[in-house]
Amino acid sequence: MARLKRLVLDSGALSALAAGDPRMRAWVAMATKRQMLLGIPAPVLAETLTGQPADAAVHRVIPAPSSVIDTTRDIGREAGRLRYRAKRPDATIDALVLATAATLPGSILLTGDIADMTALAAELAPTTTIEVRSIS
Amino acid sequence: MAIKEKFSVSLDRDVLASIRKIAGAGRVSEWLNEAALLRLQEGIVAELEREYGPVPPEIAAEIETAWPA
Repeated sequence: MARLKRLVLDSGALSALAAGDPRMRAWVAMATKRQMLLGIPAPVLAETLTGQPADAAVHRVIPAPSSVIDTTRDIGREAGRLRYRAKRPDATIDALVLATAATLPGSILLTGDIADMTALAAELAPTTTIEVRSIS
Repeated sequence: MAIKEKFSVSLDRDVLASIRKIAGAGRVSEWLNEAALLRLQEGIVAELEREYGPVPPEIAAEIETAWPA
């Protein structure tokens, strides 16, 4: 059996889910129904968490610590390549998020920044099998 | 990489046989781990629904349409 596919969230998507946004809840409900697991690239935590009590709303929508996907050397290298090729020097976190999702075949990446993410995704290898969708 | 921990559980024999058949040789732990994550995710969906109410049907329909083929 192949491993389950992932619904990967960027910081906009994770924050919206934590705030109870109905569209995000619909995405996650649909993913769950279709047996897709949530995946949170580790850099998303840096953009989302503050170390303050309000973080509890974010933590409660992350199923388990292992739902957070570590950033490896290969992901870092691919993110750098994407950022350079897409001419998006300030999109480091977005590039890391996309490069993480790209390691998970068949995953869907939900983003609050479809413009940057689409520009970065255009530089992915043609064999990459992920879909990028906007949360709005 | 998540840290793995071994522990003992008891499953109905027929259930375990079915899992082995679906998961494939040597992948029962991975299958059970993913099944557990899905259950945790279901719990989050249910908790958010209790707090914020059900997702409006028109939004659910819109997301279903936007779902990749």
